[in-house]
Amino acid sequence: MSTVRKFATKLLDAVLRCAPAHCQQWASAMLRELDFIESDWAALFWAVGSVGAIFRHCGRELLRMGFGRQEEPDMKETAKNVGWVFAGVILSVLLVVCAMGLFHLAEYFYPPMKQSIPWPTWLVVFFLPETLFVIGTVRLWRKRKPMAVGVLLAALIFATHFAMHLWSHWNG
Amino acid sequence: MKLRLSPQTLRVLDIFLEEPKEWRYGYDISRDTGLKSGTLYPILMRLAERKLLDTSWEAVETGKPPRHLYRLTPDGLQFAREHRPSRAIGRLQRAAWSEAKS
Repeated sequence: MSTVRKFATKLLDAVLRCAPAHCQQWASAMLRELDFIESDWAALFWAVGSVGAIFRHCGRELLRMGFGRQEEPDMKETAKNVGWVFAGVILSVLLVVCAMGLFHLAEYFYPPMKQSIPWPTWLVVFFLPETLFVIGTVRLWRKRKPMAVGVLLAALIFATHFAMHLWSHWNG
Repeated sequence: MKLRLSPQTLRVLDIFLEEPKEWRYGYDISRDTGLKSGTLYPILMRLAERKLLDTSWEAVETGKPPRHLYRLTPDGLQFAREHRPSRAIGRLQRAAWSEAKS
C-alpha cells in the first residue's frame, strides 16, 4: 500500500473514530469504498472530499439537535425575564411618583412643610419607597427573581440619585 | 422537509432510475455521475434523511469489510420520476440557449 493511500485510509479512519454516532455509518461507508478506488491519488481526493462531507453533515446535525431545539425556548425565556425586570423598574418608578405626589399634596394642605423641614420630605420621598423596595425585593426574590432584580435596580438608581441630590444640596 | 433539487441531485436520481431495483455502491455512483465524494455523499445523506433512499450493508464473506449500498425507496422512485421531466426540459433549454448563442 502506497503512502498516499495509507494517509487517505488513516484520515478517514480517524474521522470515523471521532465522528458522533449518527455520522459513523456514513463515515464507515466512505472508508469502505476506498479499497475499490484504483488510483492512490483518487483515493486521497475521495478521502478528503468525504471528510468535508462528514464535517458538514455532523455540523448540521449538531446544530439541529443542539441549538435548533434549545435556542427558541431560551430566547423566549430571556425575553420573559427582561419583561419582568422592566415591570419591576416601572412599578418602582410608579411608587416613587406616588410618594412624590403624596408629598406635594401634603405640602399643599400643610404649607409650613415647604419651609425646609427636611425629615418629612426624606421620609416620604426616600425612606418610605426605599423600604418598600427592599421588602418587595426580599418577597419577590424566590418567586419572581427577574422582577425582584428590576425593583432592586430601581432602588439603587433612586438611592444614588438621592445621595447626589443631598451632596449637591450641602455643597451648594 | 423540502429537498433542494440541484443539477447534481437530479443526476444522482437519474442514475438510480436507470436500474431502479438494483443496489448501487457509492463509488460506482460517483463514477457514473462524475461527482466527487464531497458532493455525492451529502446528496445521498439528504435523500436518505427524507426516506427517498434505502441504505444497506452488503452481506459478504468473513474477513472482507462490507460495502454500503443504495437504492431508491418506492417514494424515492416516484419522486425521481416526477422530477425527471424537469431535467429533460432543463436540458432542452440549455441546448436552445447554446444554439441561440452560437
